Formats: sequence, structure tokens, C-alpha cells
Amino acid sequence: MSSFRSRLDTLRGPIEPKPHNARSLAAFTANPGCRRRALLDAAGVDKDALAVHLGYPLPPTQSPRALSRGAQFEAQVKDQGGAELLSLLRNVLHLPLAEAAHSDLSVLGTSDKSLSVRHARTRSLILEAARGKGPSRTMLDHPVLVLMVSGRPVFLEPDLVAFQSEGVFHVVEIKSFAVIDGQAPGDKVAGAVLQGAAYIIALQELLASAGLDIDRVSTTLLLITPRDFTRRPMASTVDASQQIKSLRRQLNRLDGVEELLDQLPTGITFDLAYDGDDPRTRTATRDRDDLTKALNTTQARYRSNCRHHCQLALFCRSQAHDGQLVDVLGSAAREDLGSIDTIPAALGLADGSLSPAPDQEDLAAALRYAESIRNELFGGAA
Amino acid sequence: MSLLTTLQQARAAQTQYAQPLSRLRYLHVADQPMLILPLNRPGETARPLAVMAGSDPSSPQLFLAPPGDDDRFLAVLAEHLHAYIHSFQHATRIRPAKGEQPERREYLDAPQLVVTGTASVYYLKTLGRALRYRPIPEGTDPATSVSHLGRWLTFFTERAEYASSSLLLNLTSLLSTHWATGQSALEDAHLAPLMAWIFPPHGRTGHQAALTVENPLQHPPDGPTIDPSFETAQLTSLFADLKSARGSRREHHVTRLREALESYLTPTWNLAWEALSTLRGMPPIPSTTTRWDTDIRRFTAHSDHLDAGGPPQPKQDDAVTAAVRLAELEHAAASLEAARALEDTFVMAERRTTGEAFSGTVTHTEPDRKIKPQGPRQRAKRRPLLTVRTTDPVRLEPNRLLAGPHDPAVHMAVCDITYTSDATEIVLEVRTRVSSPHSVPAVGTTLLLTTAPDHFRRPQFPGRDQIPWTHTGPVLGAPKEEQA
Repeated sequence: MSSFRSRLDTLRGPIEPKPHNARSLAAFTANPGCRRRALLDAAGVDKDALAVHLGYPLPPTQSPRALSRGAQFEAQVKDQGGAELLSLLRNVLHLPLAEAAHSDLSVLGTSDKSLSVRHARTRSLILEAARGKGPSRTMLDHPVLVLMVSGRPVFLEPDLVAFQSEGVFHVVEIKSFAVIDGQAPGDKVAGAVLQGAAYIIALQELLASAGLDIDRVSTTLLLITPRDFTRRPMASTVDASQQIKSLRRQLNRLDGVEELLDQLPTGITFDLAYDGDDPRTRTATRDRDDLTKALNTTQARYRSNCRHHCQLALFCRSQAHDGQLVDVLGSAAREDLGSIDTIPAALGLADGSLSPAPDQEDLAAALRYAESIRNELFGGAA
Repeated sequence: MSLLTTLQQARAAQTQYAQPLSRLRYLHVADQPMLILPLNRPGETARPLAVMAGSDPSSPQLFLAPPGDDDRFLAVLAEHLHAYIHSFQHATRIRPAKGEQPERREYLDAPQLVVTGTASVYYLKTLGRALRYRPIPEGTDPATSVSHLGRWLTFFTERAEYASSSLLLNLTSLLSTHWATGQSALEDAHLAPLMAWIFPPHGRTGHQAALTVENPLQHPPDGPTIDPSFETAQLTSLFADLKSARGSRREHHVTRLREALESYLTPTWNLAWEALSTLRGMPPIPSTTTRWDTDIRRFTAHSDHLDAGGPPQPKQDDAVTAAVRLAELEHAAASLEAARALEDTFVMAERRTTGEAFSGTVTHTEPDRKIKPQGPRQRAKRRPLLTVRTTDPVRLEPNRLLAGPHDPAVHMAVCDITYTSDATEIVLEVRTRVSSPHSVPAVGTTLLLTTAPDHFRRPQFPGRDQIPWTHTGPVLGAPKEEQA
């Protein structure tokens, strides 16, 4: 393992690995076939800095005001020891009593330094509760959970872990997108559920490590959102079991990073060669072409929606464009063209200047037919 | 997507210039549509910060909702939109009775709203939902109320779900039916990169032009979401200044906010009108008028509903309404595609690549075939037969009604299909216009045939009192979370 870790350290260069969070873990399930991103994420490379240095920065997609509004909503919901939250949970979970012991772990500090302290405290509180030694009903606020990702602990901070008297733990996600008449934008819900799945897995691991049954963690996520157009919270339950399965699968695949490492030439690094230690003043000095060469030893799989979850998207898009890959045309064209990877190949098969591989016969015939119709319509010269 | 479109996309990527798809438009473009560019307040749900709207390209109106001043904004916006909508509620015509339809009064024309893309359609829908249940203040005219604004927005966005409706035009999706670009649908959903591909500036390729307009600080993207770079660069400090200022200081900051948003929206405003005049310049297919007539009828009906003091649209459709609506949406889409195929060579060609249309040669005819009387008082009917041979890959089943652009009114039903090693023989029975000279083409004629629009019958649903309780769905109560 240590040699594996040191190889990842070599990939990253002499800086701190970029910490993961639930959002970046959830992104693993998007485009899992991209080996380039698998390696970069496993090594904790700062993809944003990489993209900026290569001249392909991804414009920011997060609204600062939306972030602060989200934080405000969370604070409002948890106000006064979570009184409002408790009544919502009582309705959804049918908690029998009006009271629950509310433990706020942020009193132990909120800096990154305090993460391991808070995690230890979270662990002991949860195990106490699970073994029936603590208060019968616990609400853990600002807990810290851990997932091992490619041999490294990743600290996760769910909005809340609620504990129900029947001995089942529930993860609560507080989100600031509105649920209007019982409906919410699908992509927002999907994102929330994926993040929740990361927390649920971390909680399952915690119990399993203490020899407890992972069925004590509910795979149903509790989602607290504003109702309609108000700032009033409401609770919904969402089944997260599918997302838990798929995220577990991706996390296991990360352990397959070692195989990907084996395929890289020795000594490859994505180190940006900073000229100092202070993140605010240092500059990257790595030669761009050299860095691009290093990246090219990894296999990217560009998809048009990469920009939603990977900071390197525009760099990969430009490479896909230079390589004339079908991928730049989006998913519909890619599905239409099946096993044909490049645009020249598609056009060559269509005009008959290329002969198809045995498994492309049918598609090539369909392309030639479509091309003949195209010529009827627009004339041969385009 | 058809392989034909995919090939055009591939060619666009290779040449770096957009490639033509259909060259005829199938939606109505009004002489004076109302362009609406909404911008949402970051971090809020359906709370506009500004809306740029108007039907005169040279004088955009910016309606601003500075923090702490929402309601006046809504009243002014409502007034403006209502004035536009009401201007269509004067000129009427009488539709004579036809068949079961009684005589009807209809407006001569209808308003048309225009937005840049699907995200804005969704935004107006949510905004309509947010406003339509607002109470109408005592002693005010409901027709100019914010509640009615919500109902109109709901009406337009619900109609927009029909592929055949032109009441609310979605520019990027319309442009995408006429041009293939070398970028993905995700990138085509934004007006600036799409227009850059179609009309690159002189000396640049579509691909280069599209990359240039991707910089949000130099080319603000179309809404309704405000670009975070703009928010960080300008809005954050403007909001902070507004929060602490009173009186004339506040006025000053409101003016600054107005100017910032004007300069943010103006490029999109100009681009949208350019896109509109491009679309308007395309020749419409003949059936476009009929579809716009349907829109006018719907507009008339909704106007009457509001005038009669009818209730706002429900929060959720009940089971029956939802079923009917879904069937209608499917019917509208299918019959639109069939009508387009008969009137637009590109759509017909597309259908040939998907096996829904074919070109073939008439090899045999029986023009005088008669079928036996169907009942005691019926006479024998003339039902000519013809056989068409095609080498196109076809996907047809017996009884499908076909028609061709040579005479769309002649419908023929598929009776029999025989596949040989190198071709397909299809026996057709002429069902309509049997006495027309076109109904039985001569042997040797080349025919282009596809599914007839009439093949898609509007589904008939039983009346509400005829539906057993097992099929009327639950009483709508506690909302369940939508699963993504």
C-alpha cells in the first residue's frame, strides 16, 4: 500500500492532496469510465489549478449568493437546537416523543485541523447510541464521518444525522432548492441523493467497523427543503438505495486505480512545480507542453456534460476536438454512431471511401444510405 | 435524432461551419412578438431580479426588481404584458358551424411570446405557478392583476409543451431544427454559441466564433440564471450598496444596478431579434396556418375563461386530465411530424433514414377494384389497389395509413408486405379521394410515401361520469417527492 500511496504522491507532486467532499465523491458516479479523472482524483490533484495553468479554466458555476442563502436556510432549520427540524422529522419518521438530545459537534471547532477530533467524537457518540448506552434519541449536528478513498481518509460533513428510537440511523440532507407542489428539478434531487448516499455509506462503514449491522442505517434519505415559494421547510423521503449501490461500485473501482497506475510510464507527474509554499502568492512553473504530454499518458473520456462535474472539461473538450472525436457532438450523435470513434471515420464510411470493420457492416450500410439521401437533398458538394 | 442529422453534425464539425437541416419553418412567427428575457435573483426560486421585454427590437424595456421592491415590479410587468395580450382581444371573426361544432366567435390573431431557450420556458412556468394563486385586491381590475399574469404565463408555458404550438417560441430549440452545429446539444442550448456557429463573423469559422463567445464576462450568457462571474464582479457589491442606502443614495444605486443589468442583457436581446428575423425569413410550410389557427382558438378559449372569472389552473392535474393531456401531447407531436414530412423534403428524407418513409416505383395497379357492399343498403365501394416496389429499408405494418407529397389528401392503407432479397413489395389500398386523378398513379411512377397525419387519431376519452372510480386516480393529497 505504501508504494501505492507514494506513487500517487509522485503523480500529485509535493503539495497537500485536494480534500474530497460528498459532492466530489458523488461526481464519481458521473462518467465513471474516464481513467484520467480516476487517476487525478485518486491522487488528490487540484484539477482546477491544472485547468487554469493549461489555459482552459472552467468559468465558475456556483453562485456565491446561492451558497450563502443555502447556509442561511440550514441555520434557520437547525435554529434553537433543531426544534423545527425535530417536528418535521417527527412527522416523517413518526418519532414518538417531542424531545431528542441535540449534540452539536461544531463546538469542537470547525477548522480542518479539528476534523479528526470531531470524527472521533462522532464515532463514539454514534456507537454509544447504537449500543443503547447514550440518550435514546440523538440528533447529531455537524458530525464528521470518514470514507476511505484510494487508501486515504476522506472526511465528510453531513448536515445532520438523526437517530431514531427504534435504533435506526437516518441521514438528513438540508437543501435550499424549493420543492413546488411536491415536485423538484430532477437534477437537483439527483445531486442531493447522491451526496446523501456518500454519507449513508460512511455511516454504514462506521457501524461495520465496530461489528454492528449496517442495516441499522436507513437507506432512505430525509430531504429538508423550502416548501413552494416560501422559506418554510418541509421534509420528503427519498429512497437512495440505487445511488448507494452505484456509488459503492465506483468507490470500489477507485481501488482499481493501482491497475491504471501500472499502465503509466514511470516517473509521470502532474506536479505544477510551484515556486513557493503560500497558495496566495505562488505561481506554477511547470512547462505546459510537458504537462500536456504527461496528461496524455492517461486516457480521457470526454462527454459534453463533463463541465458539470470536472474542472478539466474544457481542456479535454479541446483535445477531443483536435482528435476529431465523435464525443464533441454530444450523446445523441455518439449513440447513433455506435462503435465509430472519429468524425472522419463516420464521414468516410458514409461516402464509401472507408471500408467498415466486420462489426460495423450494418451501421456503415445505414450511413451510406443516409448519405445518398443527403446528396439527393443538398447535392454532393457540401 | 436521425442519422441524417447526425451526418450533418459530423460534417459541421469537420468543416467548422453549421450545416443546413430543414429549410422550411413549421411554426408561426408573428410580426410583433413579445420577447421576454428573465433573470432570476441568485439563490431564490422564481424571483426575478430583472426582466427585459418588449415587441420593438429598438426599444427594450427593463423591468427591475431591486431587493426590497418586488411587488411594484410585478405590477408594472403585469401591466406591460397585459397591454400586449389585451391588444389582441379586440378584432374577432365568426367561425361558421361545422359538423358537430357550433358557430364560434374567435379572435383574429393571438399574442406570441418568445424566449431564448428551454430554461427560460421552465422559468416562466415556475413564475406562473408562483403568481397565479395570488389574491386579486378588492376594487382592482382582475384583468391587469398579478394573478392573471401568473395565469397567462401558465397558459403560454403549458401550450409550449405542444410541439405544434407557436404561442411561446423557444429560439434555441427552433434554430436547432434548421441547423446542425459541430457542438453538443448542451452547448446548442445557449443562444450565443449557437448563433456564432450559424452566423460566424467574417473571417472566422463557426467553431472559432463559438469558442469566443464562451467567455461569460465578455459575452453574458442568456438567462434565466445569472452568470456567477457577473455576480461576483458586479452584483455582490451593488446588492451590498443597496442594502445600506436610503433615499437618493438608494435611487443612485438602483440606477447603477439597472445599467449593469441592461448591459448584461442587451447583447442577448439583439441576438434574439436577429434569430427571430432569421426564422421569420424562412418560408413556412402550408399547414403552419392551420396550427396557428388552433393556437388562436386556444387563446380565445383562455381569454373567455378569464373573462368569465374562471379559477386559476390547478396545482396538479387529476388523473383523467393528465391522461387526456398526455394523449393530446403525443397526438400533436405525431401529427405535426407527419404533416411536416408531407410538406418539407428534409423531414421526409429524415423519415426515410429511420424507415418511416420510402421512395418506390409503382409496379402494378388495379384502378377499378371494388369491394363488396358492407351492409344491406350500401353500394359497392371503389378501392383501387397498387403495388409499390422499394429498395429503401422500410418499417411498416399492415393497416398503416400512408400519404405522399404528390397529393397529401390521398390516403392508402398497407395491405400486404413482401420482402425479397433485394427489395420490398408493398400492396396498398386507396381509401380516400378514390376518384381523384392522383389516387392511382401510373405504373412506373416514383412515389414518396410516409405515414399520413390522419393515421394518428386523436384519442377519444369517455366523459367524466363514465369513468369508473378505479381509474380516476387518488384524491390529491400529500405530495410525494419526485424521484429523479
